[in-house]
Amino acid sequence: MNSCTEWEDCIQECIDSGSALPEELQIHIADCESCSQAFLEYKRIHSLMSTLPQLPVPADLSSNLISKLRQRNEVNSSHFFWSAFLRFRACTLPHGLALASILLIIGISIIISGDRDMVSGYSMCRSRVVGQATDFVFVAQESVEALKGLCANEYEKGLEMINGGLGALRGVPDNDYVLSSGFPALLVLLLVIAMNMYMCGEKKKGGSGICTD
Amino acid sequence: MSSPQEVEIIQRVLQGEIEYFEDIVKRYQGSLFNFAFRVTLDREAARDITQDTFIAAYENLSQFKGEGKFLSWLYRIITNKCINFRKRRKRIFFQPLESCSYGLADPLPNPESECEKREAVEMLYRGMERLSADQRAALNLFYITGYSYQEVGEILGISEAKLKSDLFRARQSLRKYLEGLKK
Repeated sequence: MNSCTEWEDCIQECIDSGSALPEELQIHIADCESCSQAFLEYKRIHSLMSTLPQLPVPADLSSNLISKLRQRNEVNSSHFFWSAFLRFRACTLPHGLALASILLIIGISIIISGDRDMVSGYSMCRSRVVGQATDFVFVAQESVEALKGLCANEYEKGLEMINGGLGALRGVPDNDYVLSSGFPALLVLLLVIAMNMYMCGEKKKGGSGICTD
Repeated sequence: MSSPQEVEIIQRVLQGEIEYFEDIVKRYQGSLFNFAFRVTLDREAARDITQDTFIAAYENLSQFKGEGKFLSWLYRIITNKCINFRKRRKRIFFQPLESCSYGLADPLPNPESECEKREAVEMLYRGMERLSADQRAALNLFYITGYSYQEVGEILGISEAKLKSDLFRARQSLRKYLEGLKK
């Protein structure tokens, strides 16, 4: 024999599903004034809840919303680099630390090379340094292209190109070496950022939800 | 599953065609606004929450995988926002009947029945005011969407048994309040 509370549960489920009351419950309701009252009241609540009037939507809701979204889009596009950086930061903490280390190396390189300039009075051939660095960037780009379509027979070619790039760097005079090391460091930094932005974008497309602004 | 039309609209929005998002807003703003009102019992807050929900949906559209209903996804966002709002604001002052029509703009054929209906609706809202935000969300989600226990449970992130229990308690509380008014 069920208690009134248990029958109350059953009454609610029957009303929700729209099914007829079980015979046992019907007999109970006929005898129990409390459950009979509960049945009528739940039916009334169900009917009221199902037919609650719809409030009119405020007229400015959609127009304001679309203009807000347009504004946000404009702000986002004007701050593309910053938002990309924020996304990059959110994606990879270890890479953020790597980035900080690279920045540190660059900073130290610049300071040391500046000191050397002052101590030795050696006038650096900056145009040659820039030329060497440009060569390195060019060779590195070719290496990346080669590695993109990597297969067994192209691997050797890729290695050769990287060795070529390193050779070009070795050709830089000693005094310029410290300063020119800043350029590969910068290149590595840019590659890390680009790679992370790309990976971050892929994760977003895949809907992993890892990358959140 | 989302309808093919919805999927196409979402794809276009993701490609940057923001005007297609307007279709989404127009299609769902009524349901979402009314749901937000019934949970917050505050018209202004409901409007702001509905707007915030659409903005959040727009910004995270790429995270919608298209596996479930798009509207369910929107309800999941708005439910969280409504519950957070209610937790921040524990007590609200209910608007008196005269200043709040509850959308009964079209007069019913019989003025007496209209009056009775208004009164019943107001009593129901007053009863709802006594429920917790979670109970109100469960109750309204169940009645507005017409979804099954399982679907509503998924939106709320609770089990079917927990949802049934929340609904039972919410309706029991409403019944006690309404019966108390009669005495």
